[in-house]
Amino acid sequence: MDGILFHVSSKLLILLLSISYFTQEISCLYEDQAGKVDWKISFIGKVKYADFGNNKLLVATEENVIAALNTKTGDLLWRQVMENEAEQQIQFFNVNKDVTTVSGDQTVVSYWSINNKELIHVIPIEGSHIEITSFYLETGEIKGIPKKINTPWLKDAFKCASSKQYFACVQKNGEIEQIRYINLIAENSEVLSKPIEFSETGEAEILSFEHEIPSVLLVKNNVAKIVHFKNDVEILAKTFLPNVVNVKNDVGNQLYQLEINVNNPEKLLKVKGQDKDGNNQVSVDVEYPKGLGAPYILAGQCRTNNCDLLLSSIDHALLFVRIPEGKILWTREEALSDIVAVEFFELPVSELDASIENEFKTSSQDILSMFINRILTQSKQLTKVFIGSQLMMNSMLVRDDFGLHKIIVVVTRIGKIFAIDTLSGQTVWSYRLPHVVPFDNRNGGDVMLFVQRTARYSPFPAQCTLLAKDDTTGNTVMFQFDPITGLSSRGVVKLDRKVKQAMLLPYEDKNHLKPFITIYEDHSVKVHPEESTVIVKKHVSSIYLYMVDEDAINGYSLQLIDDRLQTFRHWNFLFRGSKLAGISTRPSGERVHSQGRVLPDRSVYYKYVNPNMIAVATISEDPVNKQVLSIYLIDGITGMVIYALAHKRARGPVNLVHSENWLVYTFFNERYRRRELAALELYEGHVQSNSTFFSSYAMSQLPQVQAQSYILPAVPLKVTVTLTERGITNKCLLVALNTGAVVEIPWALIQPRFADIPCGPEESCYPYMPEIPLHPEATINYNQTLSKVKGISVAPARLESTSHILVHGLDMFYTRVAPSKTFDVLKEDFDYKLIILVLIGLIAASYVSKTLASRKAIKQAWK
Amino acid sequence: MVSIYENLTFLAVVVQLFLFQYVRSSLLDHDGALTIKIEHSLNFNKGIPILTERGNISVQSTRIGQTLVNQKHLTPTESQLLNDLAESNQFYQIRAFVNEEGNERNKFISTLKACMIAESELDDRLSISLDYTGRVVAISDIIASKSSCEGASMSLEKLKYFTSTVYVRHTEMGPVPDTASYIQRLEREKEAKEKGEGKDNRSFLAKYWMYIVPVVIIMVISSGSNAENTGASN
Amino acid sequence: MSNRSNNRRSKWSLDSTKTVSRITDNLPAPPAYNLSNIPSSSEVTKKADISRLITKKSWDIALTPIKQIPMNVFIMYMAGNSISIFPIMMVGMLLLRPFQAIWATKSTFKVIETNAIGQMIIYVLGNFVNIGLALYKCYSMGLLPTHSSDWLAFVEPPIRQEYLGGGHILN
Repeated sequence: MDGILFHVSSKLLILLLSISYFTQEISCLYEDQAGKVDWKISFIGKVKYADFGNNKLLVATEENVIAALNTKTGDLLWRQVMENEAEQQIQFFNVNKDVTTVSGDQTVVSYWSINNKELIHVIPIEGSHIEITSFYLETGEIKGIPKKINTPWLKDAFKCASSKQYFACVQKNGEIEQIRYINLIAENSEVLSKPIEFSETGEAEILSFEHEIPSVLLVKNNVAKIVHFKNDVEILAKTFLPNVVNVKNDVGNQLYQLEINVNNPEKLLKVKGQDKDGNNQVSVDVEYPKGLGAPYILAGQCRTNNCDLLLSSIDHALLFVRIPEGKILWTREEALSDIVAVEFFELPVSELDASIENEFKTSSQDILSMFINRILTQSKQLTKVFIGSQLMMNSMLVRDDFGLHKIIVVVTRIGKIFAIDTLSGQTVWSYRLPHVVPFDNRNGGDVMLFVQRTARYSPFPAQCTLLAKDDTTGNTVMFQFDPITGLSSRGVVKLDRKVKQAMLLPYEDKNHLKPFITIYEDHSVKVHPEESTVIVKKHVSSIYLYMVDEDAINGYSLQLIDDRLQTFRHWNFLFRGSKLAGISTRPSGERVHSQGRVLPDRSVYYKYVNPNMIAVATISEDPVNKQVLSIYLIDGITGMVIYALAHKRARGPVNLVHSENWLVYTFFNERYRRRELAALELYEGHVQSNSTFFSSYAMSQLPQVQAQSYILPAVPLKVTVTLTERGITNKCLLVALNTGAVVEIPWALIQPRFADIPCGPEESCYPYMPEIPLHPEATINYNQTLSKVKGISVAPARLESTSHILVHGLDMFYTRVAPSKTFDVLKEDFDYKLIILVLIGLIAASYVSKTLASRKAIKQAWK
Repeated sequence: MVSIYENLTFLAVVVQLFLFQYVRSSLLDHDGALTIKIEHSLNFNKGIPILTERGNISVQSTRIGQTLVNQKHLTPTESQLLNDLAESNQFYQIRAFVNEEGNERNKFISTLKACMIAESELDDRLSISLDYTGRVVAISDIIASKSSCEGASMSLEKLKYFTSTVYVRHTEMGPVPDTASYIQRLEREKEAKEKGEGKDNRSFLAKYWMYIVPVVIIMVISSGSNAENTGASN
Repeated sequence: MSNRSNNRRSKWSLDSTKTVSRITDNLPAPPAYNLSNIPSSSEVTKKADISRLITKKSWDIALTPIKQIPMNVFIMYMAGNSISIFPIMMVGMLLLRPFQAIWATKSTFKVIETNAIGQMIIYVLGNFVNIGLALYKCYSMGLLPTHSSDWLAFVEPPIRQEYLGGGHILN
């Protein structure tokens, strides 16, 4: 009977699943659901140029973005994201009636509308020598004939600046430094020069400076002087800081600069204003937030009696200060526009739950003390239930039933760590690590973020470790912190050498802390924390590492030689001149629920799930086929190439995703000029060679590989796969496209089909379609365009059906996805009242009818 | 006999044997030959491995994977060393020096559990993985086994002769989107739809026999029982 | 089955024999009634007649499950192999009823006041045949966990013997 029930249920499940497959399982949103669980924060990147205009703050940034901000709130009014960061950097930015930018090596002058991000004109400029071309900005027409200027003295372009019609450079002629300048628009202009009189020592530099009168700043040894170009050049006597900004107000020009406020620890920053001769001094103390790095002024604007200054900190925060109040109106954390590592953290249980848990943990054997303890804790719990814990009520950082409330810890490229609440998107805490940068490897920077302990083990706090590089010495730094509170007991620990590789171990010590090991250039191994060396020594034979180099991948094993831990080279794989294009391992902590695939004849085809498999993509230059993409599946323990395949005339960028027993990769097919997505699946066969243990050494048979390829009608930027708690839920690929959409593609759609097995609705199998359909409903970010996606992070919720998704790039977007729909939760519109009413009604009715029936029976008996 | 046996070096010609479900065409455009010198270390537990020669493999044709294996047998001391490694659950490492035509010498390392090679009585498999042009990218020494081991001891007699099998493994051609068969399928479906909607030209009985037969059976049974009843009442 | 109905049935059988004897004793034969048609009824004693009837009855009871088989086969055939509420109910009934019958064997045979071990065995065997039929039906409907795929959900992932870490060299 059990068997029958079980099978009925499994059949029902299959039925349900097939229903969900064929009713297009993609979970699109209703209009009123938008923004309910998801949030998006838009960024602009590190601000390079800023100016005020038309009651807006206009900025150009290093991410090649032009944007307008609301001066009152700092909100983004509009944002124009330009492509090709490297080649098309903005070189010049001016706000007049509208916005003018000059960008790129192949210079392009663009003219943007100030009210909306509309591009009015684009004027391409060619030529490599100095040439003056005049345009009518409003129409884009060329005025007059371009004028060429002979500049043999122009050697070092970095020592030049332009200001309105003047172009000036500093030049060193032996001992004498002079400033050479030219009026570019005057007829028959010629290069003039003037020697610099500066009491300071060192090389002179020139910076541009905004002023009514064309002027530049001459900087020497961190002291600046203003140079005015009128008929003659005039170097003002008064000295300033290099970061001095001229703001025009009603009276005249006011020069602002920042100083550190030594006297007042509450208000760390002092804004000083004065005119160019040092008169009319104003000094305002500003309460500068402590977590931010050193600030500098970007732009200013003055009205009748107050001035606004836009400051930027060296950690890319943007602050808006109002003077004379000295109040910071708003702050934008632009560091979040470049995230290098993301980790999701479970929140700790509430104090009440924790005390209930602790109640049973006491090791005391004495009945009386146990009883007292119990009474005490329970009375405490009771008071908490009624009064409520003040602390927890305030922060509300308490674990919920379904694990939907989490903390996302992100590490940014500038070395600042943020913790973000998944429910609101607000920053819970942030921590700046000065002079900490990611390791530079070819993937464009990377840090190691290890989760040593989650918040599950109260009273122990969660612990997380960040490994990164010290900017000044190049050595490795270690930062251990509690991801929930941001507290760090030891702060930034600077190691005395470079860590070559590190690995978090799967074993826990008695405090539930997972140790990690660091490996150094001399093959020595260190365990953190050091007390856990015993654990590592115990498991030494099961710890392996691989390291990817320029031209090879090397595998290492851990050995105990003379009671010292060391790494030994175990295997190697040579690239043979190819370039690494991508590498992928299975997501850590991924659980594979089903060990096989059920075939239509109800037999099982067992999956080849190798947790140690590394998928490697390389690109080789080939004289015949231009570029060849090779994919290798390598066992990371033995170094054996399990499978290898190659695509001729294919080029990158390659996205690799390895999960369970499959691999998906995308590349560009040069022959057909299209993007393709290929899926590989590995199977052991109809028998499982060893169902209890998996060892990479034990390989009785090579896995069978199923492969299928598809046309991807879009440009993928990043690809990843959903992750759930137990791995029961269907998998979905998440593909971030260059259009700003993140699309969900069910794995069932791309899972390779067996050639000799029918595929149809009965087998709950999608028939093969060469082009992957990308339905607009499959876009998880609906109409929220996400620019320059740099990564997608996925984490499981406690609810089996649901995964947390954080897409980061120029925008940060968080949402939850349920690839098989939320089969484990009742729908939001579930009618509890009706169900309760019906149940109560039925119970009442049954009692009433029972009494009625008994009465009737008695009556009948009396007849 | 014994002396011949002692001096005999193992010669084996092995053709690629790893079977895949679908045999895909080899990507190799040109054929090549390889000579591989194999050294092994029987003292991995001592820190710095000392290498001794194990034998040579010459791959005469990388395309068809024809190989010639020529391996020394282990001396009793070497057998003892290997047995010691196996007993202490240490590693056995080989280093393969590959000479390719017109290419520099490349060194490949592969390590396996000593107890596994001992348990298999020196029956190992060498997998030589080639990239799409036929250059060697990795050489692995593996044992075909269903489980790993944690130390084993064998009689030294069995640890003498390597019976290695060499597999030359190519890079296969990657899959391509199969548009042709998809279009064919669509056309077939279309045709079937057009035809299917015409008429089913089977006879009435052939189409509905499954409904007719039960009715007939019911009738037969009921009439039979009626006859019985009447007979009984008579 | 309840005892009450059994008692009632036994009473009824006794009554009928009485009435039969009364008719033959006192009343003249009805028209067209041929006395010779009842073979030597007068020769058979009352007791022997009852015991014969009891054996007949017991065999009747013993053979009912076997008699049900063709009907069950037919029902099964009609139910089809699709999984829906009615076929499941039918198969459930087919499977449950023989079990219930086997449990109630003793009470069923209480009617026959003599020992009828042979009949009981036949009765149970017949029910087993019915169970077998129902199981076969379940099997053909795919309701029995006879395939390896039915146990797949219980296959635990193999325990890892090695752990791998690493990545790009950090520099």
